[in-house]
Amino acid sequence: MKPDTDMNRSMEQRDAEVKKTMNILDEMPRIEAHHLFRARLLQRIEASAQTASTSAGFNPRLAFFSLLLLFNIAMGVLLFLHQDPQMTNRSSAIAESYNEEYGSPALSYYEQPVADQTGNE
Amino acid sequence: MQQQDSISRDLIFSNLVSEHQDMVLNTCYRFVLNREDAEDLAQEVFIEVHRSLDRFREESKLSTWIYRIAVTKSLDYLRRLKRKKRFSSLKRIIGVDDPADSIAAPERENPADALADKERVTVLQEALSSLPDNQKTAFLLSKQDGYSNQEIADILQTTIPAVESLVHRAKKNLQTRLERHYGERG
Repeated sequence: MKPDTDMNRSMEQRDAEVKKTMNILDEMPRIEAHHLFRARLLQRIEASAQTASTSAGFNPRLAFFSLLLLFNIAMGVLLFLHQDPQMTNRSSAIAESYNEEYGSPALSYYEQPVADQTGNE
Repeated sequence: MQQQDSISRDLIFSNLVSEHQDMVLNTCYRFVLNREDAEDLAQEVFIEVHRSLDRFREESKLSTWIYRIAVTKSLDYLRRLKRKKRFSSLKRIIGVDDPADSIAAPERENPADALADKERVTVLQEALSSLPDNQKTAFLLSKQDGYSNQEIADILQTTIPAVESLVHRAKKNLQTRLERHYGERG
């Protein structure tokens, strides 16, 4: 018998707590706005209007994201150029042609022509 | 001419504020259960009203439109608070206090009663946060004087039977959650 009584009592207590908690919303007092509510509101509206007018031509967020986008595009292009085999072949072909054109002994600064070396020594 | 338009707009806005500020404030208060936060939110509501007044298309009553903004702002605030609390529980683990934990409770002379009330407010807030937004909104607005079921339906852009169903489901879910909480406590 006793366990049933204890269980009933704890259920009653639980239900009482539930009821008190649900009643919080019913017992909530109606609040009134602070006497400076409207003054503060108008101040905030004026401040936000001034901020909007001073930054009208420049949006820092937009500028930052544009810069980020440009940077990403540039990195992408560089990566593409670096990995492109055709471009690599072209650049090595260019390097080779420079070598042929400017690499002859006649144009070198550091190697003496064969005839001079034999004659002067 | 422009100056006259601006003056009349300001006058209209000022009248709107004085007519609706108490209702907006108390609507926000129902959601956040904290007076200071309710005042901040009410200010944000009117700032939004001021910003968007020209875009009001008269598809609903002006009051409905304003109270709908109040509900939206209050729900956004609760979502932000939930994210903060997730972060603050982590802070609690590492031993840093979080002022977001302070919640207003009814004033009592007996400190034990005051503490019990504060705990009940916390429990109620957690139970309410478990409800879907439309149930929470319908339930909280139904508890506030000044909102008929028709007005709640207009704010939620639904029908009166739908509002009644939402309120009924919200009550049931809250009851279940609270019974589970107090039953586990023993």
